[in-house]
Amino acid sequence: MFESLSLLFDGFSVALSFQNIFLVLLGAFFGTVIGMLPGIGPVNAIAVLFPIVYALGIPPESAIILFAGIFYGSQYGNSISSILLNVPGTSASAVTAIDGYALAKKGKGGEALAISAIASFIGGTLSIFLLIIFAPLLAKLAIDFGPAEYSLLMVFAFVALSSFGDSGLAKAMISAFIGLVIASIGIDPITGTARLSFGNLGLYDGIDFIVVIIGFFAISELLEMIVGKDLDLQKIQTVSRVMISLKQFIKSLGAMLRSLVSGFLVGVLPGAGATIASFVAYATEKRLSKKSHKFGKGHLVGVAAPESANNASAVGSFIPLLILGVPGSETTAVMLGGLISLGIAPGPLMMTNHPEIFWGLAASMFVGNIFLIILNLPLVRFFVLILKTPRWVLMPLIALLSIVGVYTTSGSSFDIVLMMIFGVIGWVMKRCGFPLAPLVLGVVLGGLIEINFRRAMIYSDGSFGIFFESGICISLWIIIFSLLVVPKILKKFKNT
Amino acid sequence: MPKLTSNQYYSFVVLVFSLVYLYLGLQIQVGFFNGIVGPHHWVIGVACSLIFFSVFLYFSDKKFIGKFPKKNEWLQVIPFSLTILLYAKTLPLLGFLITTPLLMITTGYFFNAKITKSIVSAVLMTVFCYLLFTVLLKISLPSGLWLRNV
Repeated sequence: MFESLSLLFDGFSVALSFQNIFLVLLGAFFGTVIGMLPGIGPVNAIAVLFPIVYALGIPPESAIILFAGIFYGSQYGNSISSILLNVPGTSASAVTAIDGYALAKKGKGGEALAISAIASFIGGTLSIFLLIIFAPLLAKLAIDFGPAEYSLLMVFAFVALSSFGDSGLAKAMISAFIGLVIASIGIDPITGTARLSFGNLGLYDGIDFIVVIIGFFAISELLEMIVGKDLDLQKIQTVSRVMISLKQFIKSLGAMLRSLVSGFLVGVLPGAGATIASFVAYATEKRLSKKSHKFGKGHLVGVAAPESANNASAVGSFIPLLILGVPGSETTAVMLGGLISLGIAPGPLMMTNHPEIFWGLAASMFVGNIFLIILNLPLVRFFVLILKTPRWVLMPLIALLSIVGVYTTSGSSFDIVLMMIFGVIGWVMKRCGFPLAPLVLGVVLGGLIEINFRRAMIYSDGSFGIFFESGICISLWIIIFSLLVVPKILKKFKNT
Repeated sequence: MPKLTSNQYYSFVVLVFSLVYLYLGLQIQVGFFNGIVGPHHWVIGVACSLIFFSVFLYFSDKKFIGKFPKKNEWLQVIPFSLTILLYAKTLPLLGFLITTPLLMITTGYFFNAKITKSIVSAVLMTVFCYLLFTVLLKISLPSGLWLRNV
């Protein structure tokens, strides 16, 4: 541990050079702006900057510092569009939009952005300590996660869904399974069989989750604005405060700390990532809260928990990348490509052969998170000015950015058609009381659950015993059982 | 016959959807597959789960929250949706720079914009997006068939 701290201080000497401070600021700012655009994620930003980095001969430790700045800058950028416009840029920020946008509709957009920035800072910064202490141990744990364990982890995420929406378990699960239906469209990942494509080339590749998110969230909200009430818009435009009080911060702190731990642990698992982390954190805090009826109607903890988990999982996702050489997400996959082309091979020997990269990155995360909060908290009052833009300018601009964001995913106008269809379906579903966040979870996890479940059945030759064999599986079953049964028992005790 | 609640109507809709999905799942051709859980099994499993939850919704005593869209609301939503669909169809043919201002002007109409202000903002937004995506982010946008033939 002391050796790790000493190496971390060496990392700070790398991160605090003038060039690297400039790069982390640039990355954080660029990432924030890019993150606000629907459908455009950190992958695009990193992909755009990579040739420039290569051409300028920026050293590898500085390049990864820049990319990391973009990565967590874009996390915050996603939050801005989720909270103010109900246009989540990624599936993880769809959870933030639930309470974030509800707060914005009450004229509390500034407070929502402020708690988002603070929770992101706490989640991102404190999880770095977990990275330093537990990196090698967690890397080993990540290796021990096989198909059966992944399947159960996702079952756990689905069980957590029962907390979503006020319309009850049935509607939340129907939404989630409609997400699984959407995820099943396309070529089967194991056998290559075409499913539900109806001979349409546009459907062979499946439906991108960006099309789903923008359709169900942004377009359905636009439709609601077209038919809807000017009164709501007036409230949105009257922003009361742009900072939270100390009391509000203290009330949310417990949720932020719990969520950062769960987010970090989930982020370590390749592929699981920020989406599960956000959903699980939100569902957990809703169950633990004495004011659970306020979730979904504009509760600060409903923004703080997923944001803290989101940023912590971003830090956690660097562990499989750097220690195992296994990218945990699309963005870390691009970073892996970048590192390899710069002559660095991430893997188990990374910490010993290239300590300046590993510890430089860890130190830059501290520095980057500090700069993000210094940069973004004062800018909250400018971000909320977006809401004061006249409706006839803002709504067409949202429509345009959404359409272009969807178009850029595959270069096909068929995706725009799908987006519109999902928009209408999403609008009807919202009106009929079906929550949309579980649908997003179903779409994002559908492919992963299926692949892992089927692989587990192949390994076990059809025996379901594989889901009860390892210690990790047993632990997950205990957590799932607790999540289902404990709240009911506690409720019964309260009533008696 | 007792009057059905809104949730019970929706459960029927979900049930019909699930049965259609189940039928499509049973039609999936699996070819040489000889494994344990095939591509059709997953679809059938999801369909059966949806059927279960639709029945669960039917018997749920949870109070319905929400309101199905009214006819006058559909009369506003459908034209906007058709506008987007028309944009999707004409975008590859005419290109981004021609179709987008037209889309913006039409969308502005749905939000009660005055025509002159709408035209100005449409042009500005088109140029802004074009520069943002093609110049800054290096993401190409459709130029249209007419430009390629010139």
